[in-house]
Amino acid sequence: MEQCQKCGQPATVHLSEMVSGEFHEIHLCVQHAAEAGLVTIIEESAQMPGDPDAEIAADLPELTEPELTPEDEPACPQCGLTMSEFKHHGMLGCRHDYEHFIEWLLPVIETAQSGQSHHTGKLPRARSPLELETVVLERQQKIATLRQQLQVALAQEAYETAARLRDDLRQIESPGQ
Amino acid sequence: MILDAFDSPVGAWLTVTEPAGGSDTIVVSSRVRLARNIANFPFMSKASAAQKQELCSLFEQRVAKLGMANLNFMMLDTASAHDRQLLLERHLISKNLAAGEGARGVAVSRDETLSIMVNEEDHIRLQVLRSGLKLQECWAQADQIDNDLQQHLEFAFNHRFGYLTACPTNVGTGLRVSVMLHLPALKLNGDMDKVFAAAKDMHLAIRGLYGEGTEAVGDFYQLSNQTTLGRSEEEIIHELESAVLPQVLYMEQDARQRLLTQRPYLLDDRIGRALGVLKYARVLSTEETLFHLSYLRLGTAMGRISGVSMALLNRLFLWTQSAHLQVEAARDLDPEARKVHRADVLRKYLNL
Repeated sequence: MEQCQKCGQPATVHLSEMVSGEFHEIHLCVQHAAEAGLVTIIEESAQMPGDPDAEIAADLPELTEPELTPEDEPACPQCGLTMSEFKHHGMLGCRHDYEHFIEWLLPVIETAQSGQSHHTGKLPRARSPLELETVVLERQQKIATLRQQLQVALAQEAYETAARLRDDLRQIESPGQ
Repeated sequence: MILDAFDSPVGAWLTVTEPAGGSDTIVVSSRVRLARNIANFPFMSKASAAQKQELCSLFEQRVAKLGMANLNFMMLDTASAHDRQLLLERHLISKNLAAGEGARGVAVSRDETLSIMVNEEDHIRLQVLRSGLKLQECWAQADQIDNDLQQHLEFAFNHRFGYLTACPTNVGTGLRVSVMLHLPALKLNGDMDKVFAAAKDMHLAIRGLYGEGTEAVGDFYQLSNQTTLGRSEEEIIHELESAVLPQVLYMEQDARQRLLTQRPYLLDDRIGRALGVLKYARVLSTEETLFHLSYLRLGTAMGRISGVSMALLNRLFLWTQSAHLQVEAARDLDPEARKVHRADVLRKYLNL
């Protein structure tokens, strides 16, 4: 189990982000994730007593939609956008919003994009110092495409195709084996 | 005079080789649009006045490096309302950009087949237009110019969501492909509902002539992809070309044939009335003009009238709009004077 990078407690919030072509893994406990504005802890008093769904939700704070109040609503550290602002006029404020608000945006994107959430189109043109980045991107893209095809195959009960896709995925996800 | 920046009275994407009654009388034009944002600037809703200005200067400076001699950049915040209206009527800028606020501009090629809007909803909106059904050709050019721009500008991109846009409905490819269709027979037969249903089933959008949020004027519709994420650019284009478009073209051709065999008198009545009104009226609104020009276009496409060419009709569709009328008249016209002058122009050109 990963440990929180701030306090060493078991980490329950895991983030991976890419900065200048390098992947950074971030592991935090709930408290420190809440401090960083990544999740909001729902007070126990807000839950129905003995409601099992609520208990499961309390165990998985990163999956629960936090309640938004104007005063303590998280804002993007780069552009200051809040999700109420976004809901009001439908426009994001900067590219970082896509990472910062991913929990809120993912369902919005999936609804707007007929369930899709992975880019499989054109990649940025490689400029020489960034070629490595493109290699990583291509791999990511290939994984996304395979996952998508796998879902389709499973939905269509095409198990032979699904098995082949799963093998392909395993190979690309752990190339050393 | 802003029209001096262009080669001809009608953009190349609206010029036609005389059609022989094929699908090209239905597909008026093809358009491909890419949305891009420059990586280290906030999106438009969070950009300061100074940043908007900087984005325009940066774009102008970088686009100059492409060495495209036929591409002119113009600022729109300092342009007159009349010039912005002219560009809008020629489909070179969007309503949003024409009516917007703050520093914004557009680079347009002399033949009007390429326009790059700066500070629209996204920092960069690149569009390529062609006459007839030529989506592949539009994409090839847009792709190339996007590559060229990426030599000089870094665009906002993330490994999961692709090209990042201000509105999540454009994220991923940032690609909107559309064809402008003339569907008068389907409208006349009351079958447009079927077209709307077919488009909806395939996650395609169909809208009126001027795109988002307006009614269809003159039976012109724009069919475009609804989603931009999860499929490659080629797949998006292929789907539009192969999934719904052939069906719509078939439906319109079929509707035209049915009119001809079942109710030719109705068809000729509409065309005759259109010709009568446009030749003899003295006061004409834009809507009434478009309504009748649409039937003249149908009459010409089906060979029911002679002497009115597609080229003339395309010219009339454009030059009877308000900013173009005022250029034609070489003076400002109030709304009533515009209606009178519109009727004058039509009488002059349709004096058969």
